Amino acid sequence: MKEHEKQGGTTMSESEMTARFRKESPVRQARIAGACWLLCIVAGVAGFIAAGPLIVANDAAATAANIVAKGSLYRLGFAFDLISGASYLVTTVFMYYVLRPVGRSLSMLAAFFGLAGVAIGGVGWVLRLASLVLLHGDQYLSALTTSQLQAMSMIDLKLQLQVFSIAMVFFGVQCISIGYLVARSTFLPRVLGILLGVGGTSYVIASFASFLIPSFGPHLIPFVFPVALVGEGSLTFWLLVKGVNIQRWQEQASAAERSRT
Amino acid sequence: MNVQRYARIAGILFLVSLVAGGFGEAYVPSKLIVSGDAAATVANLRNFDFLYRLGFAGFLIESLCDIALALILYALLKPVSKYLSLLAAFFGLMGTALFAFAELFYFSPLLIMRDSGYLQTFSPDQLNSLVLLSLKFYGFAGMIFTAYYGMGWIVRAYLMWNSGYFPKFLAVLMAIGGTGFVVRNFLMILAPAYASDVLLMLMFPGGLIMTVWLLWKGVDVAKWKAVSGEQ
Repeated sequence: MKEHEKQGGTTMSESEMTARFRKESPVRQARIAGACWLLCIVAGVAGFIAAGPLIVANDAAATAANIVAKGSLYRLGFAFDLISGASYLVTTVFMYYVLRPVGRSLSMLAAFFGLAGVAIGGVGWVLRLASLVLLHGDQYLSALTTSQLQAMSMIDLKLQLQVFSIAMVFFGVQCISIGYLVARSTFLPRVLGILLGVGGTSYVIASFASFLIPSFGPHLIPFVFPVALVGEGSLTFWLLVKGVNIQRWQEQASAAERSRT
Repeated sequence: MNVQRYARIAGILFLVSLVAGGFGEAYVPSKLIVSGDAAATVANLRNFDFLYRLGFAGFLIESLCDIALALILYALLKPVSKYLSLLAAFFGLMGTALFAFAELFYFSPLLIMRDSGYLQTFSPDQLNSLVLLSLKFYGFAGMIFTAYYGMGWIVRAYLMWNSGYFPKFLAVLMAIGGTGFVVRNFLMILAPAYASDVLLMLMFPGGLIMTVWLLWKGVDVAKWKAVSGEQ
């Protein structure tokens, strides 16, 4: 905001052009954040629908047969993952922008947790590709038996689930931070922050449970996803449809700016 | 901030990353990995052990430059849009972190080939297969990096186009390069037969001219000052 006043008048046309970016209202940023969050959820679910049913629990041979027979579905699932990850990064950055007036450092921290979560999730995508390589039937793999290759592929798929659990801890902490900032903000409904915080907490609990008590952890999953979906979904739709209260956003932003100087 | 110095440092980092990355991530693997022939690949890795390790060092240098470059380009493009330049930096960091994971699979053949006692349960043929398998993982995993690296450059190209202190043709070239990276990745997944390496080469004209431009011309300081509001 201060940069605005200092703007030199030498090349006004250039300044005008870039002023277009500076003046972008937070509503537009909030809508982009909401749209990308929705895209992330939809692509994530689509990826799961495409590739999830191919995996037969503890049956390496059946799983391998499915992946080979429905290779294009499996690849499609991977493409959805990439889109989901990219759109989540966009959401992460735009949420940082929207929530910065509430807490500069905490919103940056949330963004870094998001970045770490997506990067860790990316390791899972690599493991998903590993199955394609293992089951491709290449000549150089003939030193290993088919069932060995299938078992290796199954290990990779199981590891992928563990990677997902690790990433969920980071996403969970990000959601808790964003939830706290939303609840503290004057320009978004408090209840959305609380719901997101509950969703984020359930991610963290489910992940720790799956590592610490493997017999019990997986049973939490059917409860975690609806809770998380309510939290993320309600904020997503609010951002998409309502955006933020511009006047209050600007008030909170200028108050934050004043207290900084 | 001395913007011209930032631009020069970016030029140097870009140059080093192109050379080190081209050597470690393209030249060395293409020289040593024999597609489909595990035994020949293992023989190459044994005979050219130091070249192989140099390739890994090349990657390390490239990724160090990439991280620094992500921050410097963020600073250079921040006056246009703070959050879009942050997004480009995040795409860059994400790409580099994933590539580091991919390089783990480049390094693991050195462990598999070490003739350690605990590996004797595998036959030599099996170990050779595992070496080439690991290198295949490396190739696939590195590909994901290209998507995010490319997305970062598409965002930066958009910012450069709107900046007024970078030439527009450079923005177009970098957008073409970035798009090539993203498109190749999706083709590799969905239609591998069409995933030509030419798509990666699209980054070279932009990368080369960008490097020269940053070192020779830098940014248009007068316009930079007007846009950023710095005196």
